[in-house]
Amino acid sequence: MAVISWNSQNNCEERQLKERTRIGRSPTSDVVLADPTVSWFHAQVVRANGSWFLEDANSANGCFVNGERQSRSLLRDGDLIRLGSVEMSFRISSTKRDSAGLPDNGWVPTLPGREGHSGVSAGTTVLQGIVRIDSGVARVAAVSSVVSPSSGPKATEDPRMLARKLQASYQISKATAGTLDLSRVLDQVLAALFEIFETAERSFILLVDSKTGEVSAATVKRRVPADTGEIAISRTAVDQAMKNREVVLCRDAMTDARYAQAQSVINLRIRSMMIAPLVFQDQMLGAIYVDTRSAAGQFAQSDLELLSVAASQGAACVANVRLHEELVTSARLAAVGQTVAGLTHCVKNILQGIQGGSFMLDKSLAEGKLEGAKAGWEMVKRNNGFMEEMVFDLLSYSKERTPEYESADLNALCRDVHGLASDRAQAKGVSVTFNPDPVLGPVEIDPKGIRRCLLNLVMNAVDACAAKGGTVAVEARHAGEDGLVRVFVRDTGCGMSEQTKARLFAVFFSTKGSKGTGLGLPVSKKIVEEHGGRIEVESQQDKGTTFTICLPPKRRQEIPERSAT
Amino acid sequence: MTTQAKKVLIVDDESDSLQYVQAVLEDDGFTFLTASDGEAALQKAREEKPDVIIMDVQMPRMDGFQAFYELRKDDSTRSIPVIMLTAVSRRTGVHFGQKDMGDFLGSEPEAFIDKPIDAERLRTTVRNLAGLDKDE
Repeated sequence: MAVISWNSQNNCEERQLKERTRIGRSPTSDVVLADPTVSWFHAQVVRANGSWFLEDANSANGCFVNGERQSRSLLRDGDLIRLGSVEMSFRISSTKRDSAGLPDNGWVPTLPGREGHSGVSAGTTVLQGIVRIDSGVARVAAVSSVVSPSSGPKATEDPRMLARKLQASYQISKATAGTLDLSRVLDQVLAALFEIFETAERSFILLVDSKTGEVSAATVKRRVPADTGEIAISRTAVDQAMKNREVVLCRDAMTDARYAQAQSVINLRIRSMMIAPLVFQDQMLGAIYVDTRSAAGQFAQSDLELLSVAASQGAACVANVRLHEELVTSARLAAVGQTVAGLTHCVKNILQGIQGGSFMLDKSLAEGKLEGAKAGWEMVKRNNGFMEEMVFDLLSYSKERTPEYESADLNALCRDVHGLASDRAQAKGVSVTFNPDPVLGPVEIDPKGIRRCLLNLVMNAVDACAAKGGTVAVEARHAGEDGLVRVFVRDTGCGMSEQTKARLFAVFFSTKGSKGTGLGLPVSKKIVEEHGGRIEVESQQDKGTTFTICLPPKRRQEIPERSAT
Repeated sequence: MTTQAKKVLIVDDESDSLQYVQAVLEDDGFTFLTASDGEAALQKAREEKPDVIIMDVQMPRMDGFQAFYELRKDDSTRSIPVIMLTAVSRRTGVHFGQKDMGDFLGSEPEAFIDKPIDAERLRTTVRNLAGLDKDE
């Protein structure tokens, strides 16, 4: 079997030769070359007595074999042909190569009228517009002896090789350490490959989509950023790497000295490529590709082993990131589920109140009962207030926010909350007292946030006392030695069990049945912490609980540094 | 013809809820008893032997599930029909519902009504369970 291959608009084209293969600009040619320097019918390759010959068909610009113009020339494996200005290489597939069990690339005919094609031939897949996997182009020139990419270094191997392998492994793990972003990990792996293979020019990673099984290019890296051409690779080579789990070395042109003058081929077409599968714990994750077009930098067998080690390390990194992504996704879903359930509970209770109030209002109005209508209306208003508080809490909890600082009178704020809570507490047989601190000056806080926080704590204290009655004492105190202003909320209520204490600040956790939103304490904690303060809790079951809000008196960024003296 | 009014025990820690349920049922001639948690409900149920119990699930101290379980354990309260009220949708799968309760507690409440409570549904259910609509 013989093939000719050439470069067409930066793509490698390859044709298997028939007994007689006509080459020219004519769309009826077997190989159509849409180049103005090529004649309509330029030349033909014929087979005679088991040999291949190139025959010039009286072309205007002639046929050249290895740089010399020929009218009829015997072709040998690796010969370079030039028709007009189009350079082609001729190769004879050896029986040895065929016995490696590689599938034939097959004959992809050039369809009449397609000579102006866009550079993507039939049966190709364009990935991200950069990496193209197609049939043909490359042939596998060597297969690594390292069959399994995950096999470790051999005990008997050359210490220098062993050192290079260890270094490669180290470089990959160093490059990806602490990174859990997939695109960054892939980018770092490719960057590390450029360090390991100094002559590597382009590299990319193909990943298998875990859901669809599709293979697509995830990251592409080029040593020279200006190099923007498409990278075409052989599907056969990729398949071999991934299906057989082998590291493969392939070339798509020969590096024969005869081509020294064929710059276009050397620049664009002669590639030494390595493809290594990414396998982690028997799972095929994708493949890594590295190539070079430098004649001096062709990859060798030892490079395959290095790439195998690098791919093994890279696969572990990719698997790690994927595992982390799965964990994050499931944690997020669980959190969303919990939030939805918690919110549903709060909203439904409030809706119940509004609906119940409206029902009573309607009914009482219809019956002309003013007392009932009033009770219904109060119920609607009360639940409207609950809704407002819940929305405030939710927004406070879900948003990263900085306190809206104002110079505030904390005594006045406590008094305000005290007044509000007293009304609600009275109905439950609980008394609330307030003990202001006359020395306490203005403090810089977000008064709206701290008020919400304090109201949450005081109402919790009232609820804790509701069953058996009791007292709630609110007390403000100026900054002590630690520089923190404090507000104490002490109750003589039911206290908390150790389990309750442990879950105190967990969102949507409530011991108050339908009354609790489970948002109050987590929101309060968040608000206080945003001020640079903290909430302290002491509780004894059946005796009572004390919550303490500790706040720096000045806004966080303006706390003066302590002097060294 | 019985002249004794049917007794309904309403158990909810939310006073708005207690008021609302009474407003829905007040035209049917029931006598209302109320309790604000599971423990109080058990005590009232044993003392007063209501005809129907309407009980919220989420309550402090003893919740509705536990109270229901205790009611069914006790010979004196076992046969009282129970309507469970809940603000937690069964669709969220976080808390268990009627069938889960049956599987778990060995007995299902007679009815399960989601909050916000549909007034007509509540009224029909209570009338049925109290035997008011039997002759219709």
